[in-house]
Amino acid sequence: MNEAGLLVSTRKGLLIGTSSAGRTRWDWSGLHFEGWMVDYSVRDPRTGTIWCAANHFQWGARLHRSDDGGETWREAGTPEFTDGETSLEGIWTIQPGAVDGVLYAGVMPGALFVSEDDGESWRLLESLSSHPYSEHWMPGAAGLMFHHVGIDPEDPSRIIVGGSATGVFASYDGGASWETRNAGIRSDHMPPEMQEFAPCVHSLFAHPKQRGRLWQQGHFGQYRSDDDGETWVEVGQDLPGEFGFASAIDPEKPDTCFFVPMNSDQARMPRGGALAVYRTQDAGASWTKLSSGLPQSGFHQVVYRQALAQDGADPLGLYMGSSGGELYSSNDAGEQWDLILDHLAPITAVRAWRLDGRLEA
Amino acid sequence: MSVEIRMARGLRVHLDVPERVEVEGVTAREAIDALIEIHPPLRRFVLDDAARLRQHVNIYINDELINDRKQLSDCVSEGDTLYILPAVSGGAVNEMGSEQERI
Repeated sequence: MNEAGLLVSTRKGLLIGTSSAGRTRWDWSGLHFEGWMVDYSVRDPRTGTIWCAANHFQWGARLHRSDDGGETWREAGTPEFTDGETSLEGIWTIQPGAVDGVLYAGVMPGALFVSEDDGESWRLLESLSSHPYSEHWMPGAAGLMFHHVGIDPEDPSRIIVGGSATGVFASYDGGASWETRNAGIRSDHMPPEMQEFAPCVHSLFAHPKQRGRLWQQGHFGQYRSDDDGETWVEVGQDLPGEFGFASAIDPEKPDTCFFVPMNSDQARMPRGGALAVYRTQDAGASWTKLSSGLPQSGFHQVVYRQALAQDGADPLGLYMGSSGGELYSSNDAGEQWDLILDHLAPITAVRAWRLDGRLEA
Repeated sequence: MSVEIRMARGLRVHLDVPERVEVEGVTAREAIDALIEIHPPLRRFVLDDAARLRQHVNIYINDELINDRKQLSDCVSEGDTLYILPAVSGGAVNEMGSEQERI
């Protein structure tokens, strides 16, 4: 029987869930970091450590860690700019690396930091921030940030990052140098001759089982790449909106991906107020609408870019949080959804993992 | 110069620091640096990465808001009270902001 752990980041704090009865019942701890906007939280599968990026509008952004499943917390090192001008505004993602002790932090304003001592200290990967294309980067509505980082599990020197609005960058030398990976991504916010300079990426995943396979929800379309982002193929022509934020992969099935399309970047809610997840199982050739159990009218919310999660189990568990503080779960890869929490603050991020009997390492 | 620094309740709910601390200094910067030396976690609460006063934090010297939020060069005198206070403006942005802030 599958069970899962769940991290629900909200604008008012963090909730940690553990399931029982085959992911049908949930016990919750929290609210951790009450009153702080939790930008992102993730569990490191190598150690069981839970990382929590909490942000306070008065007191700034911090990174915290728990090594006992959320029982206790302590402040970790926080990425810090040292140029005397730039200052950290938020930590949008923490990505465990492929080497022990290595973590990556995608932050706002647009930069990537690396830690080689399990989060105690951080080093800016200057070569990304100073890439020649950075002069074209522009903040979206939420600011300028890198929010998705992928590390090749077989080769830790291979890194791919996506940001808003920076586009996609790949490094094959552990972050020492970076190449753009934007060919084929539409940038309707830029003149035609500038399409490749700063596409707005909303979510990006590299598939762990098929090197080169990437999935992306962009500001202007859904995409698949089979060559590490050298070229992108737009796959969402049959979806009810090119716009959207969240996506999720099935870590065992490279041809499967989930998107939550919104009607447009002008309205930013599901078409007709009907919330639905769309799944492809054939690399984007066809799509299945998954809406059973989800509100089919009057849903005027959005699902943020990190608010769709999968737990890696079979059948796949999916978890989706909304800007109206509703949390939905599915035990069967999206066929049926249930509302498992509501009345929360806007849900900024959801991350899940398959439980093997304990929360912590 | 000996000055007293008073820290608002809104700060102390997040951090285990006393309400009042006596420090030495002739500018707000020196006083704040002395405070941070005693309570290092305060640094990131009060100052940004460039050691400027955070956007939504205010420092008053007695009843005067400091002028220099970057260098904190405002002078303090013996017996002054320096207040570290959260600005109410910060809450407005956060509470009223739409999802546009996240996306």
